[in-house]
Amino acid sequence: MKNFKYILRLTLTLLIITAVVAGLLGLVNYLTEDKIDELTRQKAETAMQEVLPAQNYEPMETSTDGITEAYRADGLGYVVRVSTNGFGGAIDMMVGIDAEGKVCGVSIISHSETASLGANCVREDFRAQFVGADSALAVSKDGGTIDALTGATVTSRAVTNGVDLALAFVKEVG
Amino acid sequence: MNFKKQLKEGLLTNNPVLSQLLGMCSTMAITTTLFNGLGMGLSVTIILICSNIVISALRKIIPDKIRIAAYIVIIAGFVTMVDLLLKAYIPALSDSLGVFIPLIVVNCIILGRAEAFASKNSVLASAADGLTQGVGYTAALVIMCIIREFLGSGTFGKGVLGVDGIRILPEQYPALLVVLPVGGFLTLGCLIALTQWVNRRLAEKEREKEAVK
Repeated sequence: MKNFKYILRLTLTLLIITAVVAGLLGLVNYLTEDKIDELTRQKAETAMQEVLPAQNYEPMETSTDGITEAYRADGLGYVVRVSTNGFGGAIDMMVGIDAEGKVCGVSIISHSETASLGANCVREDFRAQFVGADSALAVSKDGGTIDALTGATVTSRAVTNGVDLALAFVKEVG
Repeated sequence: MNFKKQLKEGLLTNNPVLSQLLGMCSTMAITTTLFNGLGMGLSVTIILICSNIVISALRKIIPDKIRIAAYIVIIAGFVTMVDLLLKAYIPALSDSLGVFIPLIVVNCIILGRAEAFASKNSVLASAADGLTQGVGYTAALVIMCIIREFLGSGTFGKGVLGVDGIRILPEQYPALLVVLPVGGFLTLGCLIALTQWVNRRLAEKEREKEAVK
């Protein structure tokens, strides 16, 4: 009987602590949820405006692996959101493709690449290399035209593959 | 209250990173820019103070057998709260530290201090311990960041003083190696050696003082 009481005490203590923590977490989540959603949306919107400025973005259906969102930007072209695997995790990027099927801008929304190496993929001079491309791309080490950021080219390949995915997607629907 | 002694322990003789060698993973991974180091240090300090206070307050209620489980729940709760708050109010920091904020849960500094100090001492002393250990952790990170950022990127204060910080070395000179994990290990090794040397000197001085007495 004494043993039973002890086990009950263990269980109840842990239950109460867990319940209180869960309650507090719920509260913080409730307080920050809207703000976080708003920030995420804003970030995506800024990226869309950056790669292909337009008034309206009309969402399209996507089922391709790696393509998370796609929009028809007025009659100007398409904006495709792609996620590929880099060195430190997923690289989330927005690719703008104009009506002629050429890349008109690439913007990196989030990444977790190595500082000073892969993280340089957000730099303007790296991203500018993709502008104007309309067919399959590759980094220079693989015989392509994109100058890689580092010798290991993991990040550069990931971004290049992402842009390729977007191009292929637009070719299919457009 | 010997807060002074605790501060000295946190900064030097019992520094969480340089003497106890706790929390190495985050130390290695994020100390590439000053912005990261400060952000991580402050986040850990806040979580450490909060969890130390709560664990100390509950130390007589939590049965010994389930203490680790209870600590982890409390710590994870605080970490998630900080993670959500950072995402909402300092998104730049949250982007930059990424997965390392949630990973504070398993940072052994927090559980280590809960087990070694907060579970045996009063609330006030535990809060002071959280603060001093947190300051010690932050100081170690900031020193690592300054060294690695200077040698590896040639800048100072990236993210804190403007987006690119102040450039000290021209762009072609910095050794990228220092930013990579290898550089982290080398920098950390040198800093640990230095701390040990200082600690030994301090101990020797103390002994001399006692001998005079």
